[in-house]
Amino acid sequence: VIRVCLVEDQTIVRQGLRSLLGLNPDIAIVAEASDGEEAVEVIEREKPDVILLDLRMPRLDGLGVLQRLRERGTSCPTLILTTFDDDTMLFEARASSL
Amino acid sequence: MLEERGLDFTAYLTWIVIAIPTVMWQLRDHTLTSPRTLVWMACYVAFIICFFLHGRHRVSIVAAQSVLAVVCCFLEPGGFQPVLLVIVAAQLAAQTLTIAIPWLLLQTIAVAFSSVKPGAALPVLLGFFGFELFGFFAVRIAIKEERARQQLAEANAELRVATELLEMNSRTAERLRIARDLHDLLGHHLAALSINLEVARHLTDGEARDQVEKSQAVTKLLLSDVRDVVSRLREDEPIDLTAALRSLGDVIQKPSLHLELESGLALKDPAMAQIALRAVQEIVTNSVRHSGARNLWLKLTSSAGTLSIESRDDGCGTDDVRFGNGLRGMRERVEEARGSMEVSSMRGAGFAVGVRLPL
Repeated sequence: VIRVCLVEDQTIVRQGLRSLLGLNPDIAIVAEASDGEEAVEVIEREKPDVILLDLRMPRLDGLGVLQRLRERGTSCPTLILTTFDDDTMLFEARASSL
Repeated sequence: MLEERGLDFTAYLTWIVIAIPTVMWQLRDHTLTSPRTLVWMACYVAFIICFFLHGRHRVSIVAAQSVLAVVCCFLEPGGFQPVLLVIVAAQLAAQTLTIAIPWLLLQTIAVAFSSVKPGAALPVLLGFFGFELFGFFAVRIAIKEERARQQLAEANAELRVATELLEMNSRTAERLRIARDLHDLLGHHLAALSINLEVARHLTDGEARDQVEKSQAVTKLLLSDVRDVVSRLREDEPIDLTAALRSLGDVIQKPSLHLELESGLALKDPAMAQIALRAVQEIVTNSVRHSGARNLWLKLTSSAGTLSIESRDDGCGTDDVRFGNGLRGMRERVEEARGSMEVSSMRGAGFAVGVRLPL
């Protein structure tokens, strides 16, 4: 089973993703977070296999989460979620080599 | 302008009114070619020449006129010679009171005691001095009003330009706000809709699944529409400077602004539009403040990726162009934007400024 952490501030989007991933029996959502601070906390606790990460979030954005995790030596494969093609943010995410 | 021509005309009339009676008396007395009269004529002509030279070396030329006026009064007592003293007084209007008043008093005393019978010296002195003060203060008030008018014109120009820039900025801010709202509200809901439809597609089959797939296609279309609108709103809208420049012309009365604008001249970069507008404002302010010009011609054209602003006025001009704060600030802004600026002027040939900005 692939253990997934879902980080997304919009509740309806998060619910939709949860239903979608729930269709696949090989995927288990082990944690959810609606902002960056919360995300760092649950990721460190749960150590998921994959993170689904929204970039734009209150308190700490997606890039901030990645930086925070790297500083603390936690590395985890991450899929970036964006509603629109926010090119600059994506490039920054890649430049962070995460 | 009519007022200035009127003033010139009055000056010529004054020279004639002073000269004619004196010459007539000399003719009558057959002394027109006497050494005394010839010296008077020379002094009188010298006075007039000095009057027209006045602009160049202010104080020394006026001092020369003062001496010449006293000599003329001495050589030809009677007639209208003392009017020359009033002309000197008028030219001293730009000086401070502590310089002008003793100066006027001194020249009047010189005239009163050299060319009037001893008994009449005091009343004549007071009379002349009164006229001189009148001339002095009249011109002083006129200068003050002219300065106030210039300051008003400058303030108006500044206000107009600031308003235009503010409008430009608030239009941009408003567009960005709409873009952000569209992105945040519509975007998220459409994304959620799209995900939910994907779930529904997995849970259905047959005809229901076809319907869901159609809905998914529509959702994708909607998403890309919103995305297009958002990115279009975020692009800079080309800025047309025409309206801003014309309204600047409306608030300036002297010099009158003659605009020649290339049709369809629009600037993509708001920062460049701002620099261009500020440059024009500086050109106008400079002309209002220093040139005394009646007309200011302004031409804006664009070619080969360059915006050029050409201006010239028909003011006094100068052989010695000095960069004050205004022109220096303008050159700094233009050069910062990788543009160039040159200024050319000659005494009596107006003032010209050329600015080139990369588009």
